[in-house]
Amino acid sequence: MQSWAAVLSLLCLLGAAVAGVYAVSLLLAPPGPLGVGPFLSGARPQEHALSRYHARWYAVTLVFLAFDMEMVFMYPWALVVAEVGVATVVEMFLFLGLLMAGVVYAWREGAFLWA
Amino acid sequence: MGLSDWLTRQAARRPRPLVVTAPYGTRTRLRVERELARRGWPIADGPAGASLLVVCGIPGDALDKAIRTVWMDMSAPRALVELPHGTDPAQALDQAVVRLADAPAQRRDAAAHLARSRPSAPMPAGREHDGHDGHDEHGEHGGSPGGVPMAGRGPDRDGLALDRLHVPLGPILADWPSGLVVEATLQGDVIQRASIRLTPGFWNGPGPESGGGREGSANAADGHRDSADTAGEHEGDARGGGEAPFWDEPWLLASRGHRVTRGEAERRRAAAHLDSLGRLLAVAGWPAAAATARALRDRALAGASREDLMPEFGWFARRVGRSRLLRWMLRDLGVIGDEPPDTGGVGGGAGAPGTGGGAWLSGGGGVGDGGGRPGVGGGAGAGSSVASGVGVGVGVGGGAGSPGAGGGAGLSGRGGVGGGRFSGDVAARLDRWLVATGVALGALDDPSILQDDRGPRGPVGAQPSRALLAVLPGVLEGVELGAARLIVASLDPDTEQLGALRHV
Amino acid sequence: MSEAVPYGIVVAFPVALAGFTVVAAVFDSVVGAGWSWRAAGGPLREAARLLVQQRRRTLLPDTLLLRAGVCGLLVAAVLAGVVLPLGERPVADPPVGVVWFNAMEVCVWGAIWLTGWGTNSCYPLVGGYRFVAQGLAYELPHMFALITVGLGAGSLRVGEVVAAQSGLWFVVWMPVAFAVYLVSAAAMAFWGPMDRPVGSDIAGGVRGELSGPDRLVFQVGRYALLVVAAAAAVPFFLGGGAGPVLPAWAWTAIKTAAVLAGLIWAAHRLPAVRMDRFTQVSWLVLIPASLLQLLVVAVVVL
Repeated sequence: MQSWAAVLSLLCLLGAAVAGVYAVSLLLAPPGPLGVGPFLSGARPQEHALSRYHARWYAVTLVFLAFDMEMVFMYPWALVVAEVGVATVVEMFLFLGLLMAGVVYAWREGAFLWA
Repeated sequence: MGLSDWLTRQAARRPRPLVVTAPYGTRTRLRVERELARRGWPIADGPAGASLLVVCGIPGDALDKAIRTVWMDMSAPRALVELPHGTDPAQALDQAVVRLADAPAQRRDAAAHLARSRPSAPMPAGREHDGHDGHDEHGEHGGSPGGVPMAGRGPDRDGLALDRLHVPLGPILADWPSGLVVEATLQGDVIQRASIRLTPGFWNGPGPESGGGREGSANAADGHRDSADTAGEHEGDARGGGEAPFWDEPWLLASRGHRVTRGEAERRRAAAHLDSLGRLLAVAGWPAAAATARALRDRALAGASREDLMPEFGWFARRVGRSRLLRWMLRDLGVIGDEPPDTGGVGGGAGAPGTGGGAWLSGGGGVGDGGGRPGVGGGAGAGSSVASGVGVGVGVGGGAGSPGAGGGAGLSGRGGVGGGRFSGDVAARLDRWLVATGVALGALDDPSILQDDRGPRGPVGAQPSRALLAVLPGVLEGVELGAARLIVASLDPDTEQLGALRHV
Repeated sequence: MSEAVPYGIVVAFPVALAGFTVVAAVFDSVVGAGWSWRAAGGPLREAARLLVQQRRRTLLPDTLLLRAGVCGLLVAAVLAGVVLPLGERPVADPPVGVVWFNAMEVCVWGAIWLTGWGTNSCYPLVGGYRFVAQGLAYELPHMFALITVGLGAGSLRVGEVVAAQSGLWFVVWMPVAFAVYLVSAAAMAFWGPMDRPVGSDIAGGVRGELSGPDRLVFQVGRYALLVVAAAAAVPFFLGGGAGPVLPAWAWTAIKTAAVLAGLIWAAHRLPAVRMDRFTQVSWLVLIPASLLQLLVVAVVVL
């Protein structure tokens, strides 16, 4: 069997298993669904929970994105270090050093604290 | 339906209970928790994951409404276990298992439940305090999907305009003081404003709810007694397990002239602190340590001897006290400043002769050397945290028989959170509980007569929980939800205490 | 992804994953009950309960997103797992297997957030966002740990990563990367001390409103994810199936079980970690530490 076919068949199997769970529930459980309220310690909601959430770690997400982009370069880099030699290591760690400087700056600005 | 019935029976042997505590239900709650631990039934977080709703004590109207709401949100197989004072939890839980295993009955319940819930589908925007059932309001909100409006915006602490959610914390919430409701206004997971109230039945009516203000909250505890409260019919002596603040019981009895030994009182004190520790550790996400604390609590209440309890408590206190991870997570949370040092009781080890069993903890510095000295009055450094002194109190035993009973000497911090007892951060309060538990366990055999009124949370007559509740809104504002839970658990106000004056 | 795979592997993979998932749930229950073997039947009884539980639906949920999130956990676990060798070889051994593994487990972010969002309930929403914050804290150290492995092997093919450890296991000369990997593995499976997205302090968080089959699939997905995260430590750091006497598949199973047991034990041994505290440490300690580890490995392979 080819790899892609194997992965595909595993996914199908998983799909069948999950569908089976839902089917068994449909067959065995009492009819539903019951309309219930979100759990609020015994109260009913005054508004929908879906809202513009206060993501206080917003600054961290920006720093994260800067690093995450860079990870895309690091995977191929890892393959050529031994071939190309010292220059790759120096260049990459200069780049990482720059990013870390950004991290230190963000830290001093309090970006990683949000409590 | 053979397979369905079989699965239902299999599932029934391990229900997931959700436990609710009504006013003066602490004694019942403790028995239930012990029984659940013995059976190894894991506690549910909320109605979605629960199959058993256990009500300890007799809920008043407001709590009853909350219980019915949660019960409506639970789906079959489910069973409701109501435990008025004095019922045997083991028997009631056994019966619940039988009901859970009865598949046909569960199917009937499910069908009836579905029929009831269908018409108005989910629920409408209920202003919780207006007494409406709410279902009739459905459809009144034109632009509100499902009858519930979208979140409105409000100014944020950083000057942004953000959506606000109104979320009540309590009364039905795991590891939460019974009857306490924190009406929180959330932006994201930050509590922007908080006000507290107690569900009626805990000796306050719908008192003035001036949101967030300290004075409003303090008043909330003063309200009148709800006339619909069933508790009145259960007037009884404190020993009977009816309506009495469980943790303060020995001191209340002593104040009424009953003969109570210091050892008995210290046993109750140790159990009270272990109960608080169990709660805090559970909220801190350390269920194993919480289970240990609760097992120790149960054994202490069951009358285990000092020699029996000390080794395991020592092990527990060391593990918890030395956990750097826990300390890192708890420090700088919910900092309560030192109120003006009230030297009467705090620093006055020498000045106040025989301050008794040594649970008057300010800094803890003096606690450890209580052994052998009559009275443990030390604590010279008022309010300093016990950073490294955890476990010091373990093994204290010499001072147990101290005859000193100062008769209320050094009742500092009366009515306030001051005196250092609750000052500092969550970690400091945890340390103080650990030390105080060790000291109390050391005094289990003290046969002398209890004469003071220094209960687990402070002078019983002064109702320290009232002051704790007054502090609460202030320390919760601007705090993230998880941290808020830790802060509440670290103060662990005893809502039963607020009615205590009626009995004295 | 074009090499031929023996049918045995394709059959063995789901069996092994399901088996380890059940074992993990049972062991977790036993440890959680204070090493009481009576609790061993707990997960199966819970599964039975969820199968016969009447379904419930919160107020105006986004059912599509909710289901996508609930099932997404399992899908992510399976897809991440296909590159891990069961003994001699995996189901698929693409030349970028390490990247594939990384990419698949990042899908967990989406799955959890969608689950939290979909129920239209406050606590699950808070839990979902907690996991986003957790992701920001653990993901970079995690990726650096994986890159260190790729660098040490000079390849991103998992089979070659294992082959590169025939002399010396990576855990020996990249201990920091291994430690960072374990921490991030727990965080990825929102497990152990990193379980605040489903914390009891917010009434169960993301899974707070899940019941019936949704809850069952979600829970199974979480354990499967934990199993895959633990199993990945074996080819990446612990020499894959290498070991004396026993065949490769047995060693893989033994090492996976050991890592899994460690993670489960740690979950019950440690208090929970909140991200508002941990993030700073993650960025200022874990990332620099894993970068130093990377530098050391880079110098060695030069």
